[in-house]
Amino acid sequence: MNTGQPWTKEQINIGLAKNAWSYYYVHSSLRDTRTCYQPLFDLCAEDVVWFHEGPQDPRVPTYPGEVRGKQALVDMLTWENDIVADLDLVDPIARPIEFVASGDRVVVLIEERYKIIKTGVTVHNDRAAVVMDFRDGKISHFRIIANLSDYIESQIGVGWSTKMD
Amino acid sequence: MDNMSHARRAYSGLEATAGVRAIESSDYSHYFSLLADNVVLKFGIPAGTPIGGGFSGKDAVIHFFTTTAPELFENVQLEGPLEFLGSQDRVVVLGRESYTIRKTGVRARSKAFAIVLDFQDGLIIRDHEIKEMTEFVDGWRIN
Repeated sequence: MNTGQPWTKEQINIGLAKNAWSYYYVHSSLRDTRTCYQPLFDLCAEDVVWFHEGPQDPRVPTYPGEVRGKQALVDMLTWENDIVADLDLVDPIARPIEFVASGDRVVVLIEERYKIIKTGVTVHNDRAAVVMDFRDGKISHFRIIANLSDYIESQIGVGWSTKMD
Repeated sequence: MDNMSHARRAYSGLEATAGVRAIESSDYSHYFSLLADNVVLKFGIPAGTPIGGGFSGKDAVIHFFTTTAPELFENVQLEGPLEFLGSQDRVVVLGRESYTIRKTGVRARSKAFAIVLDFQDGLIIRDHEIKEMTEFVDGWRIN
């Protein structure tokens, strides 16, 4: 029943966030990575900033780090295919993506699994958080907080943390 | 009092000293008072570290913050005010912290976290802390 109440900003932004992450609900073996990110790209502002939290090291490609601009984000998510594979939700029915919003910010909570191509190690992130900021119906910022231990280790080995400045 | 207010109260002790001094166990007193007896605390980092498996029950969670955490980390500093987002039974707390890992002596700086608190009847029943703790995990993988 339509209650006649207008949607709140949070409801509108959560709807947009669900659209952006819709590709996650298609199993990676069926996902066409040339097109699946298009809803996400369509929702990005031209000057979107994608930031993956974590210690940055020039020997570790893609992430952690910052990507600025929609085209750079498109390039990064294409490049990602060479680094991780089989990126999927663990169980999209038992544990769907969750969304928590306040104002222009939406926090997306994901349980994900992926394989690091270089080592073949499969990583299970029991929880990862994606903080998304919206501006005029477009995503202006992404900030990802997740465990990247196995990925960083795959690139620069165990003990890397004691050798950084 | 709604759950957002409960969450703000839980961390008020930590926020009160942010930027002034390192966190002390007593700063968690409001948080402890809001824990349900069957609370579960998880960190979402790989097993093989002392906190990878999480903690179940109020006494175990309090023991973690008062005894285990100080043995693992020192000079833990909250960086700036926390941000609270939420609705109904769930509140997400965003912030940053710095700490020294006792095992390696490595100072982990400006580490982002998202704490997901689930409430039931005004008490915290789940505290899932999403923390990017790569230096800590690496430290425990060194033989």
